[in-house]
Amino acid sequence: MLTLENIDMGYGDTKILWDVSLNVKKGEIVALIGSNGAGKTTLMYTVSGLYAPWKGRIRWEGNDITKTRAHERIHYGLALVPQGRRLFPSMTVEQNLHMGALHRKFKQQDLAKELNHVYDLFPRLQEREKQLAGKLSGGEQQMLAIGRALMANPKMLLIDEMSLGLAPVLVDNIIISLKEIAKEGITVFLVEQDVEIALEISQRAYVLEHGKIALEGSSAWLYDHPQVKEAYLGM
Amino acid sequence: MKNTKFILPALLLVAALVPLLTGNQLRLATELMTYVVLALSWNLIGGFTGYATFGNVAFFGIGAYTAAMFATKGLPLVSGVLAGSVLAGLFAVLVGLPVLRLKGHYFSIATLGVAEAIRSLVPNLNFLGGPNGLTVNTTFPDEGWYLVTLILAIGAVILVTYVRRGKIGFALRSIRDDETGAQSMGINVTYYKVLAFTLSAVLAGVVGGVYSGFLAFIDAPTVFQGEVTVTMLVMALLGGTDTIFGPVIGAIVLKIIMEYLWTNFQNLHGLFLGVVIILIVLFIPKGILPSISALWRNLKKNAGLPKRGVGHA
Repeated sequence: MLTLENIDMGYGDTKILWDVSLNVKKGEIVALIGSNGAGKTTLMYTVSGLYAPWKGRIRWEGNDITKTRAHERIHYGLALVPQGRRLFPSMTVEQNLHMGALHRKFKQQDLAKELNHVYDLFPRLQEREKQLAGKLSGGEQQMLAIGRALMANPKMLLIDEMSLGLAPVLVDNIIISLKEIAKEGITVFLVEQDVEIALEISQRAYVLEHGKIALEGSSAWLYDHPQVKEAYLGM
Repeated sequence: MKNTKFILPALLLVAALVPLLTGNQLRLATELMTYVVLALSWNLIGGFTGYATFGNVAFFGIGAYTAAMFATKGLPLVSGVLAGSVLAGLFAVLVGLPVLRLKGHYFSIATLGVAEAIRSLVPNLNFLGGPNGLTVNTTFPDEGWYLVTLILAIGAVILVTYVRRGKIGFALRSIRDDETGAQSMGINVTYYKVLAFTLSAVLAGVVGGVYSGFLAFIDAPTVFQGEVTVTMLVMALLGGTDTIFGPVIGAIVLKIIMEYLWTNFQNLHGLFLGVVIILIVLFIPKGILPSISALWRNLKKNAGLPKRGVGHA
């Protein structure tokens, strides 16, 4: 579904990503793990089109989308849940959700239906419907960021550092919701610093080290891999 | 906002006051309406979109000069005003495409640079009258100019309301709140930023064209004056940038304060104006309109609660 072929990327003179190739198949939950500064967010921004790669190609359902601009990729069904959530703090929860669907054309009742669908997944958001997004707690903001991306009716969610700054209880709740989302047929590609969480949710994972793919395989296999255990799980 | 339906009748009431105004008052009222449009124009890009421009006077001046050029060639001023607004809009697209890539202070400085460059260039162009400026001969009465600017102000309010409440308004707000977030939500940020900048320029251009007829004489130091940008910006901030009517209220309040200071403290009016601006920023940073709304909400909330001290007599 999503394929990265030999991606090089960096800023100025500094190369961040070195010949990164990976693929995500339809219906999978795939994680990209790695420590701080490994290039995870850079990779996510490249996939979502906010940055253009120096070299290499990005394929989406067989089409080359390397040169497709960020705001157009959402039309293909590729929706980003960015690191730091990047909500619109001056708007209410409901308005933020509507923003996810702003680029689409549809009937009013369909919008209401999709809104209710998001509220079913995250009942907390319905309680806070009329509140400003800037006044939400961290966990609620993360739910809103995922809900907003879902309003774009995506085929794939790109989730960047979901667990950052959240209490473990909240992370557990969001993991349950994510699994539900995946059951509905939405493919999930997530980038995560918390390796334990990442390997728990995902079926397959890639390990990014210093901008290069160091390991790849099933999450269960990676969980027991000595290299992963030592470097990321502290065992 | 729910008070829209009160504002238009209020403006019409203001129009009905025309016969009561005399000479100087009428000219002041015309200037006020001009600034209402300019403050609304600034708010489209500086307020709604969060791109604080310091060069909007350029569009005002382009409108003024184009209209005056048409008039000196014997063409009707209306055609000049229309041409001026189109030209201002085109110029905004041309400047906006590169300059709107900049963010924050860099954008402000770049727009300031563009406006200052034009101000220095125009007096050196002989076909624009050079340093002598241009004279516009009209026999239009002062009442007429006032009504024209009043209609423009009402038109600007309608345009801004339409923009604010529709899809464009939400796109602009999302850009102001978080441009990367907006982009990842499928908002073509370049398109919307240039659109807001262009609409802002067209409004400033129209009112600039009318202003040249009203003044009957224009030159670069008058219509490209940096102070015009500062005034419209302060008006928008004073009234409240996150609202439709804030700039209107800001323009009225600031103009009244400016006139009062000018007539009473001719030598020191600039000093007092500065103090007034500092006080506003310190005490009502969000602007007059949001502060009043907040006060009103608090009053309503408190009115529903039992009075303090009851039962403790």
